[in-house]
Amino acid sequence: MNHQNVAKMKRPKSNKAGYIFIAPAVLFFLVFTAIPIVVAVYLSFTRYGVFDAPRWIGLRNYINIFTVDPVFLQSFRNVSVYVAIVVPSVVLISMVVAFMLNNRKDAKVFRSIYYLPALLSIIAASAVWRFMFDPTYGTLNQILRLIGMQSQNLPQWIYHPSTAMASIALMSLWMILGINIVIYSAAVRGIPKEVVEAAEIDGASSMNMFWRIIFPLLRPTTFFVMTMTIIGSFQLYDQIYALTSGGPAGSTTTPVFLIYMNAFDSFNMGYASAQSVILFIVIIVFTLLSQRLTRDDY
Amino acid sequence: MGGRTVTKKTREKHAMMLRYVILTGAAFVAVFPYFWIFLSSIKPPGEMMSIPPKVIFTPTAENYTAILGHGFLEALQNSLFLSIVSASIGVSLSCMAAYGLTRFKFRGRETLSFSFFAIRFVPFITLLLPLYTIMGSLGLLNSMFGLIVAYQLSHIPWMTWLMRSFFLEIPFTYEDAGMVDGLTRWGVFFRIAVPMVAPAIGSALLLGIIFAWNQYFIPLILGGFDTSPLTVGLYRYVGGDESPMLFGRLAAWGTLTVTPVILLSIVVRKHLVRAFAGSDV
Repeated sequence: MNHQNVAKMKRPKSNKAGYIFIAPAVLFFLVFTAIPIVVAVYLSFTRYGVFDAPRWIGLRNYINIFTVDPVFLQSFRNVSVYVAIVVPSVVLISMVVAFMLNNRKDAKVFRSIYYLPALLSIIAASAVWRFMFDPTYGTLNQILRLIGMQSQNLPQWIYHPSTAMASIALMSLWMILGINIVIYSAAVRGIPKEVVEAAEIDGASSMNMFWRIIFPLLRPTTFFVMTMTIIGSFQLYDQIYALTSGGPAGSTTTPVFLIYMNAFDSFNMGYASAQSVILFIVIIVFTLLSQRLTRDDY
Repeated sequence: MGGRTVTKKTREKHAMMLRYVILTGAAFVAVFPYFWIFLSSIKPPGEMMSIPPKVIFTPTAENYTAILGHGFLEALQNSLFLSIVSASIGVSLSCMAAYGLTRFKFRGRETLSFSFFAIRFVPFITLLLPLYTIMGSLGLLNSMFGLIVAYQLSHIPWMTWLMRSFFLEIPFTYEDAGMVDGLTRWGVFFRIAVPMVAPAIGSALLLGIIFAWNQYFIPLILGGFDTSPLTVGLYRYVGGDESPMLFGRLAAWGTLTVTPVILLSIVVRKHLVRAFAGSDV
């Protein structure tokens, strides 16, 4: 922050070179954000099938989304199943692991192994997970068989509506836990030593220490992780595309997958645009709400 | 009294061992899929689907030789070109933008800076649909040029935010001295500012290459058959039917797709969190 004050005092007020430096940034926003958003909003009021010109139909798309077509709302319900599994798991597991890693000499090695999955192509990861989920040959069911589970009780993973979304959530956990462990580790390191020492002198057990001291002190980080994970969940798409194509029985159809299908499979660009505008608004509202909440937190 | 300390010590020892087992177990879970995909890629096709899975087998390279004739080299070439060129352009533009955002005063500077962070909240699909329409009317679909332009959508926001945080850290005094010595703004930028953040530029470039290498949503939508990188090629296998023979090829393709990323990730370890979390948490 200090730098900005210095900047205010010392920087030349206007400088032509400055505009050239800023130009790429501004141009980027015009080309990739401002113009596409305006075009998306325009298309959302049209019937547009890629091959013919867009035709203005007013609010028709929006009305249909909320009255005729139940799938879009269903896709948000599907995402909420995913959020209900992923968010608490991410927070709890990353926090516990970060706590366990604290003050270890080998923490760096563990952390760099943990975040590897996040760096991998999701398509490559999906290839592996599709095979792990296979009810007959898959690794997961082989393990379950090994520990004595009866064949008829074995879960069908991504192949049954009741478990498909949970399976997708499991794969996502595998991918995103690492980076959240790293984020929590940094936060745990930031906890003042005196606080922990004082608790140790008072004879607090590890469990007590975790729930009474670490957990409350990490609240801002938890909030950050939760917000980012939920926003990521709204955009869940890649694993769906590669593993389930929204099925079985529509149980893993997410908003982005649905929009993608409407646009590039049914060529209903106008309708898809309207859905993407709604998704955008939902995310903005959610982000603003969560910011309000954090502000109250301090 | 003495007895109590001993039990406490053994309890601590047990707790420590338990911790180690949990942490190692988690590490195993994290890397298991790679070992597994690599093992599958060198398994003979007949032994792929056996129950229980075969651990001991004679490795074979036939899956690797098979994919070479099936578009692997073309896809590899596309991946290399797309990731290296797009990341280089992204880093150059982001560096300029970040420098401009930290060194010049203008109206809306803070808003513009924050926008680079906030753009990650915009759903990708909301931007990609109109981009498809716009690029279609400009004749840029299915072209390398169009893809490299579109890749900037995923590069520039985080790269600018990352570089901005580095430029904010280096003191202005060196640059002021340079100005006094008669360097132009560009001279100061290239000779003083850029060298000072060179390691950060390197990390941003490598991370950019990793992300572009993994990118598949953009080439899937805006690209065509001739512009397909490894990820899109891999999807054709994943989505295709899963006969054991094809699965071996898929595994070989997958192994070759992820190995470069694992190697690169070791190099960029340090700056990963900054890039991911958007701040130096």
